[in-house]
Amino acid sequence: MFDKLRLTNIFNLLAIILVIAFFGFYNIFEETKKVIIDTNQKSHLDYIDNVTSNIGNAIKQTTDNNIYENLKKDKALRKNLEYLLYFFITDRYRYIYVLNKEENGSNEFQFLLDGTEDIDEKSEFEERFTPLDINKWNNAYKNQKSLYFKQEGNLDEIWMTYLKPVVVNGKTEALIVVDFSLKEHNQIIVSLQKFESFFEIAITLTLIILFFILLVSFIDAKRAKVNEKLYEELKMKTQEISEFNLTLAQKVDDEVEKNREKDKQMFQQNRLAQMGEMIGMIAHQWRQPLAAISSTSSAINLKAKLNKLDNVKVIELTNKINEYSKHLSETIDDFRKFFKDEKEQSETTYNEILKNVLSIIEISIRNNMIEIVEDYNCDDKFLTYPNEIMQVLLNLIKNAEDILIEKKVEDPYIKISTYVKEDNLILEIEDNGGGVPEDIIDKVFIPYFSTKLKKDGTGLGLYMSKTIIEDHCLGSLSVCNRNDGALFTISLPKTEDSLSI
Amino acid sequence: MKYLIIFFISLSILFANDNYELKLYEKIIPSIFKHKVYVYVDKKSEELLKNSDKFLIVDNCNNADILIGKYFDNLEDSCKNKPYFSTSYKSYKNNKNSFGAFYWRKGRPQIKFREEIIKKQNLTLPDSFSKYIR
Repeated sequence: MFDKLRLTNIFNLLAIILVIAFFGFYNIFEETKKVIIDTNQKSHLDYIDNVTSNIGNAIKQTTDNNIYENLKKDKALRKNLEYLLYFFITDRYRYIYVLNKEENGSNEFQFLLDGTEDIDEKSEFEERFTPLDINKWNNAYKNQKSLYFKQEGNLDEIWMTYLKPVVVNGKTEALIVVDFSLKEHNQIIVSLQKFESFFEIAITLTLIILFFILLVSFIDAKRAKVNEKLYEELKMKTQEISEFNLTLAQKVDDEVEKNREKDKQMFQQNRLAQMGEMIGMIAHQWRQPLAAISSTSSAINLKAKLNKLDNVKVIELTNKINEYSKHLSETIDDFRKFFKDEKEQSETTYNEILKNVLSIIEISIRNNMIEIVEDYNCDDKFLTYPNEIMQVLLNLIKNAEDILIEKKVEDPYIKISTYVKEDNLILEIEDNGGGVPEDIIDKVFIPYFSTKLKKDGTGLGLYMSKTIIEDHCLGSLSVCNRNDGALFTISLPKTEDSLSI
Repeated sequence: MKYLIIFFISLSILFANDNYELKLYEKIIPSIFKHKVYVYVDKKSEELLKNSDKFLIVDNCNNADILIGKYFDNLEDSCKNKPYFSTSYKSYKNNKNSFGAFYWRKGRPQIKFREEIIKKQNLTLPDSFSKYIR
């Protein structure tokens, strides 16, 4: 549940709670405000009502219910009662006075008592008085009901008038008037109104904020929906790509496997071709010992027929036959060794490898009147696959021999050089067969590319040689033309890295 | 601060009352004389009426159409029969020749007119003021 709860939702919820809380507070405040104002006003009026009731009772008691007549007669009584009125006058209760109406139906009131002390402000007994809102006064007088209202014509608008009729035997004898201030009451109202304004502004602002939050949330939700859709699409595409990658990887693996298989086949093809060539070479090598064995056995046969065969001669001649047989056996060993699969590297030198190669091929080369020039300047040992290097060298020397024979070069030679250059062990095979034409020199290592006639070449020799030197032995094989022939250069690393392979 | 506010409120009430009074004078007096009124006034009334274009304050009461004020010390005898409009209850009460008065009582404006003096001095009041005639 919680993982689906987003931050915007929390904000929305908080904003709504805030608005509801503000509305709640506002309503509570409105109620409280009403109660405060009503209570304050009521207590105020209750107090005035009590004061005026007491004053009215005092007037009635002291005048024996004959208010006007006794006050008219008794100046001292007026003074005493005016002192009583004065007693209640404060900043809040500015004027307290008692009026009555003449029985002649006049619209004016006349003063009976005035609690004011100020001589200029004090009204005389029987002084005529016409309030602006006289109808209200008449109502209070006539209806014998207390009344309060805001003074008309009063400019500071904080003065109220409270009218309390003094009723004797069902007849209104006087009207007690209290002019009281609403200043404090108004201050409370103003303060409450400020609070109310604050609440109204706060609610308005909160509503605006809520509106914006909801708007932003709406936009956000819409965006989230789009994002979700995009995310789904992305997920789908990613899955498709993953699946495609898996297929692709499988395809690549398949292709690599195919290539490997192809290379294997090429190797096999190349080895078979080399085997054919070597069989030719062995045939060359075997011809002489076989002829020697044949002539020796003929010599034994002839001497036996002539009875000239003694033991010493037999031993001498059979020893020769044994030597020739041993030579043949060694040739077979070399051949077998050459085609033996090597799984692990072994330590060797260029000299060792070249010795083995030349033991196979030298006779054939020399029979073709080709000079072999050996210039060995590298005795360093290194780890490699010697048989594979031998295959390469056999291939390169055989190619040189072929071209020299094919072009019937005068004074043909094959020069084999070894030396150390920086961190590399270099072996060069150079001939004077005219070199590789420049337009095909970049293509000689491409599989199935051959300049030989189809029956003589597979087009795999140089490709396989490059693969062996560069992929298996981590070296390099390159070709260039030098002097009047081709120069093939094998470079193998002599560093520890290469040794550790 | 509190006193400053009270001071300004009092000042505004004072000026507002003055304005009320002036309007009242401008309504009553010119309607009686039907022309620009030459008035002889006491100090307080002078302050009030000098700003009105309906009154022309004169220095000599003999040149005045009407006297307006609370008390006039050493008033010439020739002026004693001129229409007199009181600005306090006491002067209105004590001066029986005063045809009318305007004053404040318990924060309320009081307007009074004496019918017999109005008649005696052949003055005509606007109808709207007839309710104040006694």
